[in-house]
Amino acid sequence: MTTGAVVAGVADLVGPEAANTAPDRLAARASLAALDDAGIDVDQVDGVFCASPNDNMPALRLAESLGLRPTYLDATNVGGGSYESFVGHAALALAAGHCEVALLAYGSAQRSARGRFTTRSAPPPAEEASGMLYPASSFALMASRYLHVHGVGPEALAEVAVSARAWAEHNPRAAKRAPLTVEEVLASPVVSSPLRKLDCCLVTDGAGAVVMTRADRAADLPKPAIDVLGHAEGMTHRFVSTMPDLLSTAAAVTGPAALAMAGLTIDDIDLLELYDAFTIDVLMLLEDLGVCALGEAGDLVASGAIRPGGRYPLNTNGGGLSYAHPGMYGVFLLVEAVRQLRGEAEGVQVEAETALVHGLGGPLSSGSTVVLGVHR
Amino acid sequence: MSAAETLAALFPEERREFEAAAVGRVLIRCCVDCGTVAGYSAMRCSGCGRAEPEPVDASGAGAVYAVTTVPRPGAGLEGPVSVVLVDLVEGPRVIGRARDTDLAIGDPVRAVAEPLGDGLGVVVWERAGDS
Repeated sequence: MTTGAVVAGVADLVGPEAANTAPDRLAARASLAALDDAGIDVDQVDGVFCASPNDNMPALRLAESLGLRPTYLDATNVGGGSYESFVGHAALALAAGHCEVALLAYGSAQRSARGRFTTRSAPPPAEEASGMLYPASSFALMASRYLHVHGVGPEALAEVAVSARAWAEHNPRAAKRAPLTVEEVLASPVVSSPLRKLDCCLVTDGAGAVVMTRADRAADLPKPAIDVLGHAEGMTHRFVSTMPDLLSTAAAVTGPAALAMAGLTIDDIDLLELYDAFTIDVLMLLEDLGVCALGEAGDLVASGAIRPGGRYPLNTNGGGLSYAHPGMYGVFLLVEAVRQLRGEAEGVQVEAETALVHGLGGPLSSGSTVVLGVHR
Repeated sequence: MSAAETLAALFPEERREFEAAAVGRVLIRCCVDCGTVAGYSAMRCSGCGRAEPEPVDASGAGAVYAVTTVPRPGAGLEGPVSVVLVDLVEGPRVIGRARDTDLAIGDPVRAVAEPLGDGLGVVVWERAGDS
């Protein structure tokens, strides 16, 4: 099964490639690079998908800057994983004939801007008055619950950061490449217990873009097309204070639904790209997606299963923890999955014909799963 | 933004929760049709679907469901500050600052008023006795 859509091109700009540049210019620049990668002229773009943490009309700004007159626009913002949602939305728009070429693009100057661009979705007053930090404390509350219920220590979290770095060490474009140990993670300053600085994603500049079209154009593309085999999205809450179960996320529903659409099971997946805003996310997502049973993700990660050479290659560019994390990380998960499936990895290349990408938004509030595969 | 500034910006319906908190009362909601309880923000009964369950007072007693301690907190507070999710004995879960910074999951806690001026305040959570 497939949605009938393919990814035709991808691109990203990270670190110094994206420094001191306005977010909309970064998004436009990544768009042009992804269209070049797809071998598609920019004037053919008629579907524009763009979300932003600091602009409430980002799709208009992007289309204007590229001189486009799109027939389909989507600026849905469900948090950092909006771009995984966009893949599903774009597949539907392509299938319905609302557009022929869909451009998904993102840019952020989060690091260079030092807070100048921040906007927010105001939290409940009882949360805000408590002194909790956004977003770290929301994830810290989940982590406290996880460690308590499953009877594991903070090294279970630290192993996720160490695994991410083990991939980043081999990626010349990763922001953090120095080898990292569990002891170093556990010695980094507490941000919001049990989460420490090295349990938290980076704050970087960056931009990314994905070009999609219908599978009937796959043969015309200069590079291998990547099938969008399945997609599902959902949500369970907005803020941590109303999260129904601190140990379960929308991925428990969207993962199986997206895999069912693809006609696959989790055992058929060769590559995992999971949104790692904080180390706890990866433990919870591995369990929700059925890679392992509840409470077993810590042991799985500590065994080396998600490191280079392991059974479950995960966040192979170094992830939000070591590669880049410019505000919303979702588009970068897609870019890396496509590079791996094409055999174009910039770090460690893994053997993969299928990939599962899961984006999250807010404090594990929304979830969107995309299943990708080499075009058949 | 300080806690007092956050509360001062609220509309009347949201103020009500923090007018109660200023005198140590914890407001939740209870459906007049089916008795299902919910947090104060609920607009719809999760039991029967009735709109806008009635505000009622909770006992102010509960147990810690999750906890985090923040060395450098927000809201203009001096750290370290512990923030707890508390499961009230009535069922709904609420969030707030803890008066103690050594609370563990499962510890019994109770709500204590922390007035912030202008008739508004929050409840903070302190360890309850064994009783």
